[in-house]
Amino acid sequence: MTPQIFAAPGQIEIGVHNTISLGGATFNIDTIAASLLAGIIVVGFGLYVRIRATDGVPHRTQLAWEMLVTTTERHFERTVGSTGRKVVPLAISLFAFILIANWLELVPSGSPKSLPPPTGDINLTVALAGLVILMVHGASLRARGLRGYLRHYLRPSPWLLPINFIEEMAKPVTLALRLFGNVFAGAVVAALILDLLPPHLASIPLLFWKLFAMCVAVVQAFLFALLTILYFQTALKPDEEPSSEEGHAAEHAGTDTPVSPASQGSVSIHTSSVPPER
Amino acid sequence: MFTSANFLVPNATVLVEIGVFAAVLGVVARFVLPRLRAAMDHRQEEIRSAIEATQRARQLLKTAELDYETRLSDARRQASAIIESARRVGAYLQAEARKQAKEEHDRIVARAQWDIDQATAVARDQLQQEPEDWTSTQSH
Repeated sequence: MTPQIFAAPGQIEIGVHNTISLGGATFNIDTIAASLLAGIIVVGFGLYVRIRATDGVPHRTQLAWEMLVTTTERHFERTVGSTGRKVVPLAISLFAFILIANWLELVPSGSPKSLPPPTGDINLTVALAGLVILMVHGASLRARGLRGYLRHYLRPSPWLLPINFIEEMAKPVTLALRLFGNVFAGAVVAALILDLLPPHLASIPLLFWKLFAMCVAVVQAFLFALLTILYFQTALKPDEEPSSEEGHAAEHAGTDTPVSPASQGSVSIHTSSVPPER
Repeated sequence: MFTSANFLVPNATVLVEIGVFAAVLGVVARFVLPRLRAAMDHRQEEIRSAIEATQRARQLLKTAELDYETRLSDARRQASAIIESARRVGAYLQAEARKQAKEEHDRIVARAQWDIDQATAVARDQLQQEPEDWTSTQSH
């Protein structure tokens, strides 16, 4: 038997979950339990704020929520305009849910972990990213119409169709993998520290690592929400230059009302169907 | 080391997770944010009206201060005018009183002088008319 410098690395179990099978489908019950807990915490804080919300001097929880709402709304209104308001609840829910889910990593739950950070499981991050991207594409379809939506894949040149397509495909994948990778790596490093150092020495580096992981959790939650906002911005932002058809239609419409660049696309469509009044 | 080779492949848990997050989103969007928004709007409105009231009060204060200053300077001007006129009246009254007193004094002095003169004349006449009486009395 070869002498071992470190403890047996075989003890580290990565990506192993408590699963149950139902009708041929596998469910990671630990992830489900942990994400349910995170959801209950977020909803609990939310409902607490709803019940205790005051028009006067707000308490800390309300202040935290209000800060989140104000920051998100301001960000949207500066870039997308008032249409972005509908996305604010999504961005806020994502941030709060992911933050709490990430912080579940800080709760010591023994080995094997009964309460793993659910964002360290690809299932949650894929679910969130998929939902977000579906909503982004839905919003884009509603804002631009089917033709406009399909045409934006050909912007600025039809030659860029493959690149645009790959970009759209990459969005959910990167969104899911970034969050998963960060939280998962955090768990791996914590496991390595526990495994490689004797128990009486492991607690100190582990403490520093957990503090670091706390910050990483905030950054990752923020990043996920921010990227969601950015994707919605791209989806809701009107095309910068109207196509030649729309441009001509706007020119021939002959109305004296100034057309703002933000609403140029939609206005030109309306005015082209209405004859000039003079 | 990695006992599960396909931990990067999602399984049916995805569906449950979508449900969990959708529920969170639903509660936050339906129950939490509208209440928060109402509270924030209400507070903003209160702050706005408070600021307006402060501005109004400040304007009122400025007007009142201006009014006060005007009134004060008016009152000062009136007061100095009253003092000046009082001083003038006082001086006049004093001069008048002095003049009257002088006249009275002169009159009294003149009267007294007249009385003295009269008495002196009477005495002189008496002395001139009765020198004999006086000498006879001396001989007795």
